[in-house]
Amino acid sequence: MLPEVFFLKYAYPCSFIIKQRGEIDEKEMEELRQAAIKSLPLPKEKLEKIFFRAFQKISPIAKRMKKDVWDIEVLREYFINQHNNIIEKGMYAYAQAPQTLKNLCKVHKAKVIEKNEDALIVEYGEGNIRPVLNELVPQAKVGDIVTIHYGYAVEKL
Amino acid sequence: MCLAIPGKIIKIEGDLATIDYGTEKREAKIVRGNFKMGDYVIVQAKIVIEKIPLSQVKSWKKVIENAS
Repeated sequence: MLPEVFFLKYAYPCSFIIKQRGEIDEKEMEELRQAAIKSLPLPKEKLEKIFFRAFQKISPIAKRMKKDVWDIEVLREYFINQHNNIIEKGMYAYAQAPQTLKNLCKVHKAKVIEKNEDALIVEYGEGNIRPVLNELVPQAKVGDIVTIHYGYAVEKL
Repeated sequence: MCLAIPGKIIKIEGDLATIDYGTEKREAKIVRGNFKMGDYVIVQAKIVIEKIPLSQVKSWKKVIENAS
């Protein structure tokens, strides 16, 4: 998978918050959605601008790994391993975040326990159950392990 | 579409909830979970994904709207 595509699939669920803050409009959000669903690479500069908060956090990780911020290993290290620590420690904008927001913002590994037309029902952690949209991983089925971020299943593992 | 802040359920008909955000109202589908009138919830792409305890609603709005 291209790093731009990998990045956007994980970052797209956050675009709702970016739109809420008025930094992108409805049209730009739909463009992000289409690119995320169809696995189309958007220009790196554009993604770095829209998701600058993510890159503030990815940069030091890249430096530590002595790799580029767009190296897929760096992006994976961020979204799968470091992202949750950053949230849990309350760094950056998460300092004031309530627990339910932190929990939705974290990337969890989850098991698909039910599939319906709009959503997957997944179970993660210790018996937590929630619905997530399946449009980023339409092939996911009951029994699969997926990563989830906010209201979306992101990647089938 | 959806809003990134909690909204309040003001009507439930079957699996369809009407959610009030103060400035506007939206509809969203309940696919899982026990939700009732008055609950504050987060919706994404027209699906109710999570209930937000009343004590956390204010800080949600603050973090989402004011974060730098």
